[in-house]
Amino acid sequence: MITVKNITYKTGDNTLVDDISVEFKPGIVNLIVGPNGAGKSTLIKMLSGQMKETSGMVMYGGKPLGVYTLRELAKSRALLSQNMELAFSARVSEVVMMGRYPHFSERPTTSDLQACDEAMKYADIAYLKDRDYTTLSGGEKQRVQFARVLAQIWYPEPNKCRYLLLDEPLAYLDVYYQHQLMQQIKLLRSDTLVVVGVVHDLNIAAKYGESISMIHRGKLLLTGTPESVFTEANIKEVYGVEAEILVNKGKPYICF
Amino acid sequence: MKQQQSSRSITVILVVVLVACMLLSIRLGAVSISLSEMQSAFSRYFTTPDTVTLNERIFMTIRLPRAFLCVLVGASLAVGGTLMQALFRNPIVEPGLIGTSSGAAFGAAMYFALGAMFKFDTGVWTLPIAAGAGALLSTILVYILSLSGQTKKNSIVVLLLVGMAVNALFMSGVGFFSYIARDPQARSITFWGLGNLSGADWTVIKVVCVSTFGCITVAMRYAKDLNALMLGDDEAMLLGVNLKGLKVTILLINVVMIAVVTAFAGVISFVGLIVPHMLRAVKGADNRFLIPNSALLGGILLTLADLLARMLLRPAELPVGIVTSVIGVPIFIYLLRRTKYII
Repeated sequence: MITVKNITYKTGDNTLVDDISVEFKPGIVNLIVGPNGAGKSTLIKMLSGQMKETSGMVMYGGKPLGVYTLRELAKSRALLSQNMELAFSARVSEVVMMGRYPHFSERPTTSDLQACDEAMKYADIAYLKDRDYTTLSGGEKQRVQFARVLAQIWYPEPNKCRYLLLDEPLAYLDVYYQHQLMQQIKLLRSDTLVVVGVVHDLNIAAKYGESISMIHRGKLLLTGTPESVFTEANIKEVYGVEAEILVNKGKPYICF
Repeated sequence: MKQQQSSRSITVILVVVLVACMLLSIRLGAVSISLSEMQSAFSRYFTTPDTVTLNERIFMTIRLPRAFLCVLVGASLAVGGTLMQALFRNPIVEPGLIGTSSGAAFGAAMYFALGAMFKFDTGVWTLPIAAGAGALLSTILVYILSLSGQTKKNSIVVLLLVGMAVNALFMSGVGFFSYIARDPQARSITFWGLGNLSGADWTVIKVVCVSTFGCITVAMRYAKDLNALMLGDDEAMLLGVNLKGLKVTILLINVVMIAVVTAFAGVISFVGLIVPHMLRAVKGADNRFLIPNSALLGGILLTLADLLARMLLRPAELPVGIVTSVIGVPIFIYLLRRTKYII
């Protein structure tokens, strides 16, 4: 469980995240939505420990983020962003293995190798494993990054949660792979895995999210089921657009 | 597993080539020394030093230390290049880039120009100390200036730009000292700036040996962290890498290694630039492979360059930096055109 208590982030005179408190539970897909500049990315970067909150606290499993060492945290928390850079050429299998770096010191163990193989299969990129990463297309790179992030937290640790954070990971994917990725993430659900993601596309959020947190101007507007969050009134207030809410396969479908 | 085997066989090949190059470089020169003379020199130099022949003496006091110095200097320059390229995530970076070489050159130029004027000299160590101090000064200056005022974080781009500026500053300092120096000193400044391996003796070897092996050993411990850095600062941090510790350690290793070799061998360019390129072209960018093997390949290249420098205008000697540049530039351009690096 990730517990966020009154976190605020300020730079200069701007308050990017303003006193947000929320809980992200394991076993479900938690998604954060909001317009550009609402503070979604800042929030997820504070959850991951990349940015330090000005005040308030982020807790993993009841303990503040600050008590974990970087290495400890890296063993149970992974983040998939839209950053796909790789400074030099390397084989796809080595890039995925980087996800296991926090787990071994000199050479990868058989369980590290196995985690990589399984993660590559799960992400459906096993056929790319001997390719040079830098020659892949944007979409392929993003799926390799997904496998790397999965490999990082592949094995459950006894009595501990794992945390999968997503920072707008769909940007370079076409419709097919957007849905494939979200489906793969949804199928990972487990009592020991907390999934929190920032997504742009409201219909993707409505389809795959089980708990939606809507953020507006740095504040948390509400958290709830897709049905309770995606209402015509909320969308009008936060995005300033008229929308009509339909129902598609039992989920809200937002028409603009 | 296959991967590991192929990198091991590359290492074996490099070791064999390195030993062969060293033997060749010891054998050839103004006088050539046979293998049997090398053998007898070893046995007689320690047991009956009085009976040593001229060739055996040349072998023990000139050729052998010089061969070792070549290998150590080449290894340090190449590993320095590998580390800097990994740290800056940029394949065109050289150890000299963050000001280290130009600082060393500045220290040396100051010694040549002012030392002669004020009769200031504390023996053979003055030049190395002046160069080392200059290297430290310029590197620390680059590091401090590149801490941006707002975030106190080191951005790579800022570091590179500040490095360029500080390089220009220190090189103009070198220019100033050449201008005010008398002719022989000005010539020394120029000569030293082109690299010079003739100062090899066993004391020098000991110092360079400690710095080279010590720094490479420490660097190997950070090889995995440097790999993670290929993904970017944020991603490396998310994989548990202590960014600040990594950057400071790698910069420090680089300063020590480069300051020491520059102090004893002058400024030698291009070895640090092309060696990592050559290895990456063969085997990808895994730093656990690159660091030890760039040490070997750096040793090979500098040994060969030094051999050429001694042989081309026999019995006169070319500054080795001229040879490394003449060989290095075409190789570098070839590698750049062949591989599609993102710069």
